[in-house]
Amino acid sequence: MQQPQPVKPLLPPNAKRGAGLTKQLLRRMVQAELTLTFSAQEVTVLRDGRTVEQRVKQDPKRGVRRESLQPEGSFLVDNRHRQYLVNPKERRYVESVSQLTEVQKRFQEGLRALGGGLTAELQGQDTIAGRATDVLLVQPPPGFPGSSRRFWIDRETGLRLRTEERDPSGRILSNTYFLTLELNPVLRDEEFIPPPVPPGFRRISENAKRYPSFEAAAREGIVLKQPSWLPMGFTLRHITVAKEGRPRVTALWGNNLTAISLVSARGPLPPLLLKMLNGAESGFVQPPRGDRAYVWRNADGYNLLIGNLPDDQLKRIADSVH
Amino acid sequence: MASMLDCKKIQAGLSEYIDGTLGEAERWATQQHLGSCAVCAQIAQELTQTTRLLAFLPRAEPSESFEAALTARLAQQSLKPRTATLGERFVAWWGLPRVRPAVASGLALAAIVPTVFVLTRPPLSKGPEARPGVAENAPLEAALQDHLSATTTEAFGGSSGVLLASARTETETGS
Repeated sequence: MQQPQPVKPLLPPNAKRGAGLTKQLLRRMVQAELTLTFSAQEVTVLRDGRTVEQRVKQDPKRGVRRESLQPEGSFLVDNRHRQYLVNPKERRYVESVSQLTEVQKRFQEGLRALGGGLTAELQGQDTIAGRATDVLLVQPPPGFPGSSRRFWIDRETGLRLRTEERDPSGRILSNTYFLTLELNPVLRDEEFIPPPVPPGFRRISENAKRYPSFEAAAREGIVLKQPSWLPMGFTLRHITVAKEGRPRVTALWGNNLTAISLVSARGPLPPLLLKMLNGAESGFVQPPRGDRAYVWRNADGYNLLIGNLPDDQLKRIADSVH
Repeated sequence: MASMLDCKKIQAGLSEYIDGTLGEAERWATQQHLGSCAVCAQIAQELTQTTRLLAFLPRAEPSESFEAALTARLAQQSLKPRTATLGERFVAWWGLPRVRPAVASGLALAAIVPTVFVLTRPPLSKGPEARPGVAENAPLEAALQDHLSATTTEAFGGSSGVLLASARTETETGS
């Protein structure tokens, strides 16, 4: 399969017809991801040029299995009940809640958000691995800068064959595309059952407690400061309380495209943050392993606001936390 | 020659004797006993030396990473209460010398110093668990990883899921 080519622009479509068409295309994409059985080799090129390659096997009933080919070794099984991540390099076996069910919950909401908190624009046509695709751009509405994604949607199946993610300044964060695609392959049951814990691996059960709202958390004594301002389109997903190590409470908001996390932790700043702040009490940081963040100390610990948003928006959210 | 019973009583009060907290009569009896019992005198001398040495040692302050490293280490260990061995029960029953304030704090310090050293010294291997700063940065790494995973559960989020977040971490650490 070849590297993706530049998008060929479409003739200007009728605006009203275009809006309906984009929604229809996205709905079809969602439907394809929920109903198709396929096996694909997927490549993601990160912003610094490094490449991650995975073998994806999906079955609408049995779940999804992802095997990392580059770097080699890790694999993940999500059987729609639980998710299992096996990382031989770190000798870790992590069991957590199914993410597939989370994604499914979001699809309807995502489609409803179109025309409100998100806009979709049909940008043209392209060919990926010899297959005709429609190219759609999904982003926050004009005047509300944020991350955006472009999808190359297969005309025949509706599957997204390529996804391009850009930060608010238009810089490409990642590019994910299929190298190969096999529809309705024979997939073995063993590939979707919970894998056994390999000998010598540390088993971690992520059992962070989740609350659907600040009120629900408060009823159990979890009092968390919250922002009085958020960019348009973001709604609270949940609040999690991690019990391992130092207490860490995270409030998470999403806009169907990207997420904002507000982490409140007790204790001293981790050395990495301390170094990046260079002695300051607060500031923007760009951790090598994550999204841009704004960090500030408080009386008994620190807050970390993570999200791919312009700096002024991150700061505005942080300033409104009380 | 001093009897065993005398020795047991004297050794039980040696810590207080060195600390200067014994009563006048007991202090005098101990002094007399030490003058006639080589074994107890030797023990008293060693305890005195230890106390002096510890008094001159610089106070060990745990490093900034100490608490996080200890927490991470403890989290990996099961904290089941240990049953005392038969020997330990016998020693407790026999009532061997008790360790008193100054000596006790000194011995505790002596125990902590190598512990702090072990926890803060450079790792012997370069495995992921032994990398400097891994434990201290663990809450940050977990928060960033959670965020990346959360982004992939948005309706039009990344399609590659948590494995990409995990692989991204491995790739970006140069492994």
